[in-house]
Amino acid sequence: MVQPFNMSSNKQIVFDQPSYKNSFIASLYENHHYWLTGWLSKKLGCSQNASDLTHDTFVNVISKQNDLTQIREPRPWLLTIAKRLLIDKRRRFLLEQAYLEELKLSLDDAEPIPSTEDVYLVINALSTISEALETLPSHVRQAFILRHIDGLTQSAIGKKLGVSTTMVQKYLIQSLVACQQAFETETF
Amino acid sequence: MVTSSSPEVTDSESIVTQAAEWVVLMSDEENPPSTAQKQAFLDWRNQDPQHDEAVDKLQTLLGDIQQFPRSASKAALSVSTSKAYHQHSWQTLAKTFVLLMVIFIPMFVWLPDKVTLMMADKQTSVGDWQSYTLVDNSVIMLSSDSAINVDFNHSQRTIHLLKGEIRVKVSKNPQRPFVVKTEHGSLTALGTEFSVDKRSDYTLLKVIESTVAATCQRRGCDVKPLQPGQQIRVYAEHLGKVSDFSIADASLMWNKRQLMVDGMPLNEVLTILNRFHKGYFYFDAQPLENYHVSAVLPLDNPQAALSLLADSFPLKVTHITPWWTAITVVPKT
Repeated sequence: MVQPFNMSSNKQIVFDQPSYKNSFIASLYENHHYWLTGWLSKKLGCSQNASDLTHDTFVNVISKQNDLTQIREPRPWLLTIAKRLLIDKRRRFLLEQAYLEELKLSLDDAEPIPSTEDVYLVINALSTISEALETLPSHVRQAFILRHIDGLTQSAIGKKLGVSTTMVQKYLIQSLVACQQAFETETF
Repeated sequence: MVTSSSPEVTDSESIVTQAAEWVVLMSDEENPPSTAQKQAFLDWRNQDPQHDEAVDKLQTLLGDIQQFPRSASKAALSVSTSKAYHQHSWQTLAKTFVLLMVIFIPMFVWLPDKVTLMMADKQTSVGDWQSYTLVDNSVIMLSSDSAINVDFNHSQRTIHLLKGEIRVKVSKNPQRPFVVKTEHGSLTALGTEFSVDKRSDYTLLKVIESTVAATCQRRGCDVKPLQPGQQIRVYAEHLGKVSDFSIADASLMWNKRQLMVDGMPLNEVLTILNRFHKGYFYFDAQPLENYHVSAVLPLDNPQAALSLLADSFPLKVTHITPWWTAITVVPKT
């Protein structure tokens, strides 16, 4: 699961950064992790989740390739990152729940129960796909799901969405590229 | 479908897009690619190892997705790509509600009044004077910043004074009494001339000719009909005392646009002046009550009138903006 950092090009830069940047991150952590945890525990009503999320936020900060010293207002900036991570987490939680529930219902007694690892590999992949589709128009999103999950033909999708087959092909190309790129920049 | 496969384009993003174009084209079951297309696809893959790799990756991805349990994956993607996780918290809803209330409650309080004034039959803006002859030949003059509604029927002629001051010269008709109504009370006249000034908490009636009867809004309060040269304040709950005024002085306002006052408290003078001025005069009435003004002030130029007052009384006039003038008393040292 854990890929070496050199898998994606932007990760490497962190290690190439001059030491003053590392000390900047250190001071950023020192000055801000305390109130961020406090703010998040108030928001989440749970200090455990809050410190997890604070941790995730700083991991996200460290993995950013842009020049951190340019940041003038660290508080709103950190809050924005934390909120986005919170939304991602919620999306992931909903996805996981829906997947597991439906999986339970759809499994026949005769079928072998998939291993936990397999289940989570699929959930991880679906989460990446979902994140990629999220940024696309709803028709593009639907075309992808109808084609690759439901297995409809291109013309059937065209009928369902009320567009031409050429249009469906455009949607499929767009969604396929988005998904591929999402998997390429995958961080875990 | 495949628009360009020129070898110069080596940018990885465009390679992914081209690979996706090929994969989509090749995977159409109903329109299987022709032999020529298949060959073109092969040629493109062989052209550059990056092309080949891009196609491989896409096919692996699609192959993986095909292995996913169908209904569970469908459920997962429908939930997470719907807007479900964007739902508002109760806190956000409550905040939005409070914000809406803060905007709308003042609007509901303020709007009906404004709409009534905007819809008024006749009105004047600040500094404007108008004279109208009504269908019964009565003449009605509107002073600055005033508004009326005219409501005539077979048995009664009614003028609703919504704002400001009017002077009426009633055409005689005993069958149809002429009534001026304000939120404070009613003034009934039979062929006569009088002026009505609606102020914030009372309506001031001045009789110039013949007689006028005054009643207030709530209780059946009555007073002997007023004679020329008599004035009365009509409050919503009661009537004030009948007192005398100078018809000549009062007529100066309507004929010459001059305010003639004789011993009027300074705060009242300012209230009258303000009706002729586009901005707002801000002052505390209490300390001004003790100063009594006897003067002739130009109503067409309220700023000049204010300067005249400031010359004779210990007043400090501050123009904060053209719309806001603060007037304060400066005790003499």
